[in-house]
Amino acid sequence: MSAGNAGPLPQAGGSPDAPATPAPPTPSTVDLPRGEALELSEAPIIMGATPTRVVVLGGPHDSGKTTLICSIYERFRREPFAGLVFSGSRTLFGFERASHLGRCASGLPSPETERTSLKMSRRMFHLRLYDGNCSSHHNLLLTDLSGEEFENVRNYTDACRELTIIARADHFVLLVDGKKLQDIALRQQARDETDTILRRLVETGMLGIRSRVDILFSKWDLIEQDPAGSRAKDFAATVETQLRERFAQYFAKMRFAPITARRPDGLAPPASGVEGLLPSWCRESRLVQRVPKFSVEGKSNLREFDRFVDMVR
Amino acid sequence: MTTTEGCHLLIGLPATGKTTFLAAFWYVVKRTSYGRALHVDALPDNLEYLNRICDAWLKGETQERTIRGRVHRAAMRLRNPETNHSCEAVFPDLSGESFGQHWAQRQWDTNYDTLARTASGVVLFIHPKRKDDSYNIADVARAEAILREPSDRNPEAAASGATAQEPVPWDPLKAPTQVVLIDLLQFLVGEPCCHPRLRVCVIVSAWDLVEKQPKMPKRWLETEMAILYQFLTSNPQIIEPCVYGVSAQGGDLADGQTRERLLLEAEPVNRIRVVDADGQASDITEPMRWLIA
Repeated sequence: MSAGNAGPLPQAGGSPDAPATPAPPTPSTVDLPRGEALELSEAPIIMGATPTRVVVLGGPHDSGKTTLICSIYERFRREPFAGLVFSGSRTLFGFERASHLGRCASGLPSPETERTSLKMSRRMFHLRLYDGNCSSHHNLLLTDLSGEEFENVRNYTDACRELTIIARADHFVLLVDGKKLQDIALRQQARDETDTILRRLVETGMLGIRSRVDILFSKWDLIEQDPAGSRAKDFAATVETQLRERFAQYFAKMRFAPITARRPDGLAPPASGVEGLLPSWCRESRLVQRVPKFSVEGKSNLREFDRFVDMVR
Repeated sequence: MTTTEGCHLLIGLPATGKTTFLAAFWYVVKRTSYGRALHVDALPDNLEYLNRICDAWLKGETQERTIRGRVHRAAMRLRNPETNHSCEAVFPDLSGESFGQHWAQRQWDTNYDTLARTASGVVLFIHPKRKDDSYNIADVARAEAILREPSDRNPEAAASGATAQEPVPWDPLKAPTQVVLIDLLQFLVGEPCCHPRLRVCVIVSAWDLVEKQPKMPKRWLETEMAILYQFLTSNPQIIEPCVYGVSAQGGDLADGQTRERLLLEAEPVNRIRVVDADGQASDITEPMRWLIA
């Protein structure tokens, strides 16, 4: 509670010896929850109270991480989604702020999303969802890493080691920009940076046998609408095959999915493609895992990771 | 005979019919000849506010806007003729702007805090024309495509003169109504009030506007305010919801013919239209009867 009572103020122009006239009383105020996206330090408020799943979204700048978070919220704004029902959020104010550039009130001719700065990186958006299948509520914390931080992770081991939030996450979601897959000048770089970031995270132990990793090909609507979209689809299939061969054995779970978080012409509902993922984000914890299968093949390039796995085993 | 006490918050954004509802409700409960309807045991000592709003309602006048920051405290002792249960009910009438400020400023004053912490129920007011006033650009684009009236810019972009480089800054007061209402309820069932369980009666006001559509109040809420409906119905441990459609003044008073028709009613209570969640006719005290039961 913040007391806002104003103290007595000297009367303007009055004699310094004259008794001060009390200012009109200002009612005291009570602070309400901020409602903004949570700082990392605030997460225990939710995590300490009820079982909570943490989903970390990574990917290069403009790959659609924040748009994906906003689109899930927008989907609930119009209907129950993926068998889940909206039951509350401690970050409604933050969701609304983050969704602004996609709304008519922004005055923009086409929807946009505010770029996540390094300062805003790792902020957490909260959803409380009711799951009819198991008749229980789930707390979900969705957090996105800024493109800048993502680039640092790709470039520097030390930056990667600081990302302990990924090691603690129940799910790590890596976005691959579908727009880049369409462009023959950019697609190989998109594949390489995905490969590099996964390898970096594995070698530093940020991802491991408890990790559940989803690789999402974002902006899939662009590929679907492209007359030459089959080329991008084939390339995405190749990327999936190669990443699965190289990394799936080191994670508790690895999935791939094409998504359209927000189609600018509105011809697809928000968060299309996420319906198959969201229930498992809610239900599956990194603390509940299957025994990973380790193969000798493909491990030769991941010596540091091997040592980490051995240490854990 | 049993007697209880209860403070019932009237929550709603501006012009959602809170005061009109209270005026019509007061008119009904101070008379004793309406079957199952609640009635007052005795007139309260201070009737200045209730008389003022009731007079305006009887004259078919639009209620004066409640001044922001001012709380009109309408107290009355209500009796349920069926159960003989008596309740000392308090209905604080606060301006809709104040509720908007609670959301936007993330604080409320200590006077309201006391009321909120002692509340035993909530009446949540929604005007059907303010169901959700925050459209997505993508949804507008889709609607334009369906109507085959494409435009280069969304209407607010055209009005504001904004360009792609200069978005209009975010204004929390323009957030969707249903989102604001959810947060206002979360202040009650969560911090700072932490009510373990709360009855929430949703009043869709100006129901005469909705009746032209073949929807019942529950169905209307589910489809038109989807996320609020989800919130209300998925928290049975902490929220017990119900919904009514209410036309407390009976029609649009700005329309001369409608106003005359309403004023010609021999008995003012016949202006009021109330339907329960499934569309069955009811009386204006039914929502309160449910709330104080």
